[in-house]
Amino acid sequence: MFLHMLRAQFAFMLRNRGALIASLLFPAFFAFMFGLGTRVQERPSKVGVVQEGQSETNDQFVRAMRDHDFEVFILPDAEDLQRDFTAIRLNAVVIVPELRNGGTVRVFFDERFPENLVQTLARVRSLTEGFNLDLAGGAELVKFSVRGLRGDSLPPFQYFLPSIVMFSVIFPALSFGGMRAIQSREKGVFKRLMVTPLKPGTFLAGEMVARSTLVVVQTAIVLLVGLTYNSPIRPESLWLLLPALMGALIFVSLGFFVSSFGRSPETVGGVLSISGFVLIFLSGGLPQTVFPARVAEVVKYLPISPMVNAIRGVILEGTSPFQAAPVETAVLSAWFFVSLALAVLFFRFKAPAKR
Amino acid sequence: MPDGSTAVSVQNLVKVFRTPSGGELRAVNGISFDVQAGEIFGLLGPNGAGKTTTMEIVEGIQKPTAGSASILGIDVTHDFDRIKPRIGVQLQESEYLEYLSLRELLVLFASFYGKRADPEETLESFGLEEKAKEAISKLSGGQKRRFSLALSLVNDPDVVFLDEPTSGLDPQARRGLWDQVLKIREKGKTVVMTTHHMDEAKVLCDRVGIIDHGAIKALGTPLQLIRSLDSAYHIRFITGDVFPELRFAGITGAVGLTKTETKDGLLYDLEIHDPAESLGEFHAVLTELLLRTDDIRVEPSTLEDVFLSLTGRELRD
Repeated sequence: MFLHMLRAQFAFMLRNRGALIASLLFPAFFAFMFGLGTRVQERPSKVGVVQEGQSETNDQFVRAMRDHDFEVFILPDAEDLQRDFTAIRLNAVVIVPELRNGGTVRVFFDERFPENLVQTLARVRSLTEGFNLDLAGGAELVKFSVRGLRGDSLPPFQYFLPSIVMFSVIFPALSFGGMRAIQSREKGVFKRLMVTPLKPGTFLAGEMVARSTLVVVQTAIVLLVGLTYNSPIRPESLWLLLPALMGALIFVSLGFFVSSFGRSPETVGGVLSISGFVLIFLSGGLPQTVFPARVAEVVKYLPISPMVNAIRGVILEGTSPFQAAPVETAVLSAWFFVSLALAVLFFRFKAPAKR
Repeated sequence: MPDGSTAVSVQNLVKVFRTPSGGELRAVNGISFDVQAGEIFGLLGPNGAGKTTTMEIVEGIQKPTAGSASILGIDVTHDFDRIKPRIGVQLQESEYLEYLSLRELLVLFASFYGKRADPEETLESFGLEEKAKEAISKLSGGQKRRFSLALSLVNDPDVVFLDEPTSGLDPQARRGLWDQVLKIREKGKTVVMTTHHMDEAKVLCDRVGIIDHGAIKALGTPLQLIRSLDSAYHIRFITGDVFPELRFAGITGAVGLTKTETKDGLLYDLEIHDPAESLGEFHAVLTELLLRTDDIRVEPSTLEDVFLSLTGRELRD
């Protein structure tokens, strides 16, 4: 029964050519656009500074940073930059050596937030060039090096890869899961299935497996487009399928769950679209640094943020999401199992009763 | 042929819906009937009479407000999963999983059951073998109804429910589908169907329940229901002449005389018990009055007449 149901779900997915092409073009489009977007530079806001020297040149350098609109936080030492990133929610930490005779300023950015790389590079380059021009007539008095706090430096495309994957799989999952369920119910497809021994769970399982296959293809497309932006595909890249699959299936499950309560496609579509957009906006549309601390704390536990951060962890660490981002993977797993349980418990072929 | 055992039993079924204004609509109001194994039982009534609601309760799609229904001795309201493999259902309107061909749909639905009919044979017996690779959206209305009937038989069910099986079909397609329904009975299966076509009920059904406003008004074979009328026959004729109408009312066995205006003149309908006792006298009166008449017909009463006599309304399509 399940295999036949699965075959039917695949037939629906593959023969619905418009939706299939849209689902496959979606990741290609996002990957391409985000790839172009890696050249966009924005300005950082909060930077921690560790002064290793006491010279006038050091003070001048910090003043120059403030003049360049850096919000400077003087840190006592560089012993626990990871803590400082989290506690003060810094974009970068700048370690300024004794600059009396020149030196190399080391810039660390928080790799968990990829926008920090391009922001920091652009700002620090501008700062040091101006500083050298003012103090040394253009001679290279101060140099700078940039590196991420975690892992090696990565091609810019890979910093956006989690968001690309997220956008690619979430939107189709939203529309196919809940919307398809409510449309099938309205058309009478489910009514006909109700009088057969087919269990709603079997239908749901078929949908899940078919959807998972599409997610794999979508992710592969993103990775292939990434090759054109010098983003390599490594064997460990396959691990990013896990959070991508869980993220997509969370939204398929939530869609089926919501469809169990809404009576019209308009209601269900509205709820799914609004909730999806809000989650994407909170979790991927904007850097988490722009939110107040309390909101940012909540966002960490919504499904998209852990999904994006788990994928990012896999890319940065080159290991499984369980090792690279254990907390995020745990949160994502919790969402996955809870949403799946809700879908299994509440999804029925029968229309919800009128209230 | 019916073997005397009860295949479907419906007892004091009630279904009340809440209306948007906060009121109540009693769609089914205490319906009871039994269907014998091997017979075709029809619920005959106008649209909105409660036929489909009754069927959907028996099919397990809706829960009754009160009363009970059982199929093959199994209570459908409490143990519906047990009965699902043994019933076939053709809904009044239904769509199927999209992008599947007829063959794929039959194979898919057959996979839901342990006992299954051969999809290829099923397609062939319904004359749909040439459409096996087509999607259902490519079929004509008649083919769609045939396919939905074929799909209801994919598990070789003991009891088949058909809700308005010929609704929206042209006369030729309807007759084709009647043959298919009769074949289902020939295979020893029980059929419960709804219809608002009296001719369909008369041709197909062994027994009929006439339903109106959510209640069974009469129950029996079509012949029993017709014979229960005071007037089992009608003598109908058209005339433009004026004559003393009481002369016909006095004919032996006459029950009543009504007239309806038509474009050809007045259509008179003389209701009688038995043509044998009334026809001779009728002819004598015609001769005596020198009436010029057209289109004299002697016709038996129909289920339409039964419905009219029970409800005071006509059973309209």
